[in-house]
Amino acid sequence: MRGFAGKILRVDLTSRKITVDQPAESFYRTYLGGAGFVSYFLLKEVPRGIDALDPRNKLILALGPMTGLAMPGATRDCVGAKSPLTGGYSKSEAGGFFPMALKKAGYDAIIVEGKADRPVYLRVTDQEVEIRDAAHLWGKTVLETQDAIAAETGDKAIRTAAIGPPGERLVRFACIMNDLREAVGRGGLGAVMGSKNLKAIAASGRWNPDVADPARIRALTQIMNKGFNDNPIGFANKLHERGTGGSAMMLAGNEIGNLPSYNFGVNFFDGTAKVTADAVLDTYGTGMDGCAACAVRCKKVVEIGEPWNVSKRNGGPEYESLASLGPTCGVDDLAHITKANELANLYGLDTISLGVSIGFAMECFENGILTTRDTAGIELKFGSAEAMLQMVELIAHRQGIGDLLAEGTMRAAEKLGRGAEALAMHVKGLEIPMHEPRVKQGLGVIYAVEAQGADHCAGMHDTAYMQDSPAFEHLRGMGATRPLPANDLSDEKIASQKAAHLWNLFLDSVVCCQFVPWSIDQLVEIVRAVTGWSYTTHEALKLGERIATLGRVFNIREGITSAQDSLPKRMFGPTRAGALKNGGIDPEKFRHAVRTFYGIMGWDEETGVPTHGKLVDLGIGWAAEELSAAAPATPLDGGVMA
Amino acid sequence: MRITIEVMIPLRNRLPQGGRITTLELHPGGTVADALRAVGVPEGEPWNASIAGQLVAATHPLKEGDFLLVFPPIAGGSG
Repeated sequence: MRGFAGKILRVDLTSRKITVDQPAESFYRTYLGGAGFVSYFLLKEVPRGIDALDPRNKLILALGPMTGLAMPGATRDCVGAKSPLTGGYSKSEAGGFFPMALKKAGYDAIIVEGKADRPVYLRVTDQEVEIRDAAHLWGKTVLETQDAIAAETGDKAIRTAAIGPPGERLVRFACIMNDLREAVGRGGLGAVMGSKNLKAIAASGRWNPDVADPARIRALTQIMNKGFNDNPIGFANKLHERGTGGSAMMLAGNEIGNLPSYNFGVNFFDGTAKVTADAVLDTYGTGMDGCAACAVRCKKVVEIGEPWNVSKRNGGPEYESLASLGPTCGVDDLAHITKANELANLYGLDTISLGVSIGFAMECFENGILTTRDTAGIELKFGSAEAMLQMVELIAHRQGIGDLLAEGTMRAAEKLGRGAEALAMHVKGLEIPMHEPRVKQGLGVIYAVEAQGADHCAGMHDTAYMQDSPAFEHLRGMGATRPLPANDLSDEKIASQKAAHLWNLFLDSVVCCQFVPWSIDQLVEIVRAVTGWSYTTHEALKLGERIATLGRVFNIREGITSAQDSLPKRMFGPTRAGALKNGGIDPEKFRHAVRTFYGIMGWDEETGVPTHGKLVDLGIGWAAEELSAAAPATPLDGGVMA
Repeated sequence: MRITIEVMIPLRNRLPQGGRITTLELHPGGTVADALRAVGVPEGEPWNASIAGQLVAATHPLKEGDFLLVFPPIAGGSG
């Protein structure tokens, strides 16, 4: 088999048993890697109804056919588990160098089961696999952990995926950090790792995948390396210059109401110009950096001296972090935001859920639901940069009010009551990213129906597809209909969203970065050139559909129904200022759009349950058994949360 | 009919005359597309545009005194 190691490492931390699966080539062709593997193993192997922090939950870390190749966008992994935030399907992707190191160790995936009786880390090389003591690493930051493992192994090529104190303390939005800057961010997968007493996975090796057509791979690599700046599909040129969060994007986003501010309540932020990527680079930037073998190099490098001591090793803030720790909390102090971002990377915290949880707490404070008695005297008001930074520390270590916020907004609101539920900006428990669903309404539907909750990487950003363009033409080849306004929720828009959704799930299986503007023809050609299969676009999109449907079956089995395919009530009303002050999603149109999405996915239009015929069509008839054990389906209740 | 148009960077860098804010004289019933053409936004160049915070399409009719903000399409974090 070409392009793959043909080996999946299975580590049972309870019994300390290490085994290797060698699936048939047909399995690889059906599920490909990354998100495909995650979806398969979660449904097949995670027992129904367990708590996400139960040792029986499985952490699945999967690579793809591109991983290990020196190509732009190729060094990524996809990690999945039952989510401690949502109780449902969860997966998340990140880049860096660790995924390449794991492929060079000679594995396509790692499945971690059980729970170690004391802190451990896993060392995986092309020579051996060891479960090593990590008692001395427990409590350490990701940086300290990486440096200690490199020092004690004496392995200069070793790369880590590690958790910090929040993962150990089961913060429900703790993430796993690839190297030092790349976050497997969403869904609390770091807490799953912590629940297993697994501090890190460290990988290195010299194994190289055999590819079917190395000349074609070299040619495609050259095309992208030389041409990404002029590529009309994506925005790689801008990403190359300053990463995400450029001035135009944030300032114009603020004008049209797309920049969540004050916990999605206002969506107009006076201080926006102070917190853009341009401001970051002009003030604290020392350059740009990237993941292994990627020419786009979209990562900001920042450094701040005393008293902040932000190191250039730990990465600069991306758009999501700038917006969530900044305007969402009403904060415009760039030093505080940059420090909070560094702490999130050092500790391993998802900056989206972190910022939205702090913004939620600030609104609770301003509404009297939280008081200084709850916050140990901290004036937790919107705009307080000091309070925002204090909350990062308290959440990371589950101290004081941080212990409540470490549960995520859904659980924190349930515990607080007194109207707090209406202030919790999440879908299925996953906090909403920095792309306003009242502006990008089609993406809002994807937030609602996506198995893992509000995921901005799962659909089409409506604003970028309002007119005929090479970017739209790219999607048209996958089934997109025609350019439509951002707030359109017609059947045609939903068909286009489906096309983008399937494409993104294919990308997550390859596992390739969305920021590298490969066309679908190029990416399918890469799969062919790597594997030697006669892989087609049809197969790629079918795989996307298979993954979405497996995720849906997993959720239904866990009791998550169409009643949770919704958005917070706030999204159906106006903001207090800005472009959305007369806005809000029309609930009738939204409900219709959700039903339309179900229908075009081959799911029952009322309940969202995949039909038997669709399961058969996707080659996952076996999943019907999981549905038969599920609780009775709930009809769509209108798509509006409390 | 006079309108004002602001083209944000980096899209502005692609205009023949550059310039941040320009006042344009358009024929009555002129559209967003007419304004973009007048300032030299290249054909096929992707853009978003808004008036008073509301996104507008190429065919949107402009009226006297409108302030048209033009910017690169807002995608997932970039733009």
